[in-house]
Amino acid sequence: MPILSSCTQNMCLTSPVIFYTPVKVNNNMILQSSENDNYKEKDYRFSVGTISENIDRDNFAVSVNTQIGLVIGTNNDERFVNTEFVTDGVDSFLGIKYGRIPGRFRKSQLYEQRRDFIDATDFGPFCWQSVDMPWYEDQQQSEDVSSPCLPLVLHTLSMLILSLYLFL
Amino acid sequence: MVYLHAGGLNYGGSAEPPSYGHNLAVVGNVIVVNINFRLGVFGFMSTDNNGSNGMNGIYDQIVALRWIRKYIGNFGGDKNRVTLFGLGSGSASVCLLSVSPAARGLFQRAIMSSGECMAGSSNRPGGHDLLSPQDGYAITQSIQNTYGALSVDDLRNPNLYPASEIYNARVMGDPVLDRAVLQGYPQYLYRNPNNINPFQMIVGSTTYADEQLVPPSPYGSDVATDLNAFYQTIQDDWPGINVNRVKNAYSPQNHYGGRVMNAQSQYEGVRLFAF
Repeated sequence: MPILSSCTQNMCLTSPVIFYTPVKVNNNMILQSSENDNYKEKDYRFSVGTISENIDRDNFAVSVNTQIGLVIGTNNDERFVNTEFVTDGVDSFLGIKYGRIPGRFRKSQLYEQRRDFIDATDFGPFCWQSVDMPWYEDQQQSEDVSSPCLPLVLHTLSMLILSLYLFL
Repeated sequence: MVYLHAGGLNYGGSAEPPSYGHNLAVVGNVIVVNINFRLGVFGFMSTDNNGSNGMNGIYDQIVALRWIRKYIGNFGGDKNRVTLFGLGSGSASVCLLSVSPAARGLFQRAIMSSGECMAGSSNRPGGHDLLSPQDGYAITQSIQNTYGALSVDDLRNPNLYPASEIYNARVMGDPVLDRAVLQGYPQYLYRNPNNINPFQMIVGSTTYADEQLVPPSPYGSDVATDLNAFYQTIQDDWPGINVNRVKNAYSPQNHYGGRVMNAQSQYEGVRLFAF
């Protein structure tokens, strides 16, 4: 796919374009490409309220090509439907790792490992909460150093819509 | 717009519903970025008494801002129009980063909501004072004693002290002055405009910010005690000055339906300007 080659580590040749892709986001593909910092293997999810655990990714995958790889996010995310949050026309990249922690009590470092695919269709892990709150139970499973607790979440208005549905 | 979540530097995260940025993205036609940063003992325990450590959680925020400056263009953002905003302790973080040399150039505007970094004590609403390296390290040593650790390196070792055992070792603790983030204490840094990073700032406090968080009041249990403590705070803040005008301006009876906490929230919110 040409979109995969338009960005290098140093620069992107094209202006940002968010692709709405009907292509199924293959879990295995993502897991293989991010072996070393695999959010999916940990039990980190935030289980309060509105987010359903069982989702069908087929309908809302979006992707944007960046210098660190193809970032896959969500659009019209059905997990947020029937909540107070507007999702129509919003592209969300829910868990992009921005920093790594070399050790407990150490300064974090910028994380910019280039990968083919960066799965941002789901939230990253919480950092350890220093108070016992029932709604954070899930994240308490992870260790502060070995698990990557420094993701960021990015919401943006859908920009140039290249709906591949139209061409298929 | 980059959001720093609330939670007393002890809890919260980018994945909690109050941080969701969908609606702001739509209303403001902006890219909203929420970030995680380390909390509690993992984010704010110092490892020595010479100020090399103690704000790792704030440093995480700086690293995130670096990432944003470098890559936000890939998502259609403008790295030269970054607004940092936060609530509560997130606002206190904005307050710190706004005078941090390490954060210079990483954001251009700042909005502080119901939290600042020089109130003198975390017992005060939204207040997050900065501990000296010595005081911070004294806390570290007491943590060592509590957990029977011989050194900081012991605490560092996840095999000896899994996160599940020490995660609540430092609850509601203030950050410790960390020279990687700040060269001094914010109440002094703010006196020199050259130290302030953003060229525009909005500072404010919600009247009802603390109503649900600190019932009924951090000061005491009855109105008379609260009122006296509140007026004493004002008196302490302005030594040697007749503070009657300040007391009248924030009188709970006159302006806040007798609710001391709401008056206090407003007072704390604008107190930053006084410095």
